[in-house]
Amino acid sequence: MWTWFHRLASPPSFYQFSEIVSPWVLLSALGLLGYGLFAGLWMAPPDYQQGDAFRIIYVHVPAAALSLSLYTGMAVAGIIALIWRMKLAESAIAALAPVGASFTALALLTGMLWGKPMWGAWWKWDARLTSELVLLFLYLGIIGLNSAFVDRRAAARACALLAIVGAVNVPIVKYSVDWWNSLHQASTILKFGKPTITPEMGIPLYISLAGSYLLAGYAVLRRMQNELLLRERRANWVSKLLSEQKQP
Amino acid sequence: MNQYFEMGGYAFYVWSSVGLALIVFAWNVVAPALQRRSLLQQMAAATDEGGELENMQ
Repeated sequence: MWTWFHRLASPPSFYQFSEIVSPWVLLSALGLLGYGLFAGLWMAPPDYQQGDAFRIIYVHVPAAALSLSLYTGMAVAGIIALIWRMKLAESAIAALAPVGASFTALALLTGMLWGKPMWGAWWKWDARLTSELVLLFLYLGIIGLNSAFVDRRAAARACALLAIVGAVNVPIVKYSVDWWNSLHQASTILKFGKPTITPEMGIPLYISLAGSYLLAGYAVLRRMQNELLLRERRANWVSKLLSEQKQP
Repeated sequence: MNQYFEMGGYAFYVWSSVGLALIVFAWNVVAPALQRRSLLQQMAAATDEGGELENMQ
């Protein structure tokens, strides 16, 4: 088991592994998302308070959950990259940042589209909204920092440091609705104890959550592959791969 | 049917959210593939010339 893990952590094995796994990840992501969104938008009953506007939950909650999970993953990869100088962890930081930024932007935009009809305003400088905006800026900062370096290893170390420092924002986003008197409603599912949502509404939400996580996982795998190709372009395994592609 | 798409008067908010989500999903699938294609092309060109690729992002 340990040797298997060790071998997978080498760039060529990881590349091959992702090559085999990612089409299946994408397929299951699309299947789950398709079903989850259909069930949420079509079959779930309207909310007794919010009517059909509550259906925004099926895209808003997965995006918001991913924005935090991907950032946490990036900070963990940052710690591993700084301590063990592991190539995979370094490339994970670069791969996670754009995916995380896209889902953070989606969470903010769908949040605005939900806030307008429910609260009467597109935006409020509320604890939850503001800290999520800070999260977007952290992602953008890491993307910018990463592209400012030509040396990929130096870039990864700088980004790792920023990702770790910025991680203090993650619990602030997560618990802002409990710590401060926020306009944003408290969590309905991602909390301890029983979820306060009926299964008819909840099950489609869990399915679209799973689908979104798999889709993000697919994008991260593919981006890590690209990062490894770029970093290892002088290595034997990459030249072998290139010559194999030339002969159809 | 029409009544369904009206989303109880919230059509604009619900369908814009869904549309944005679909754009983000599609971007996350397409962008890495495009990135890989240009990367492979650049690397192939560099090996053909026997040169080295600098400043490649």
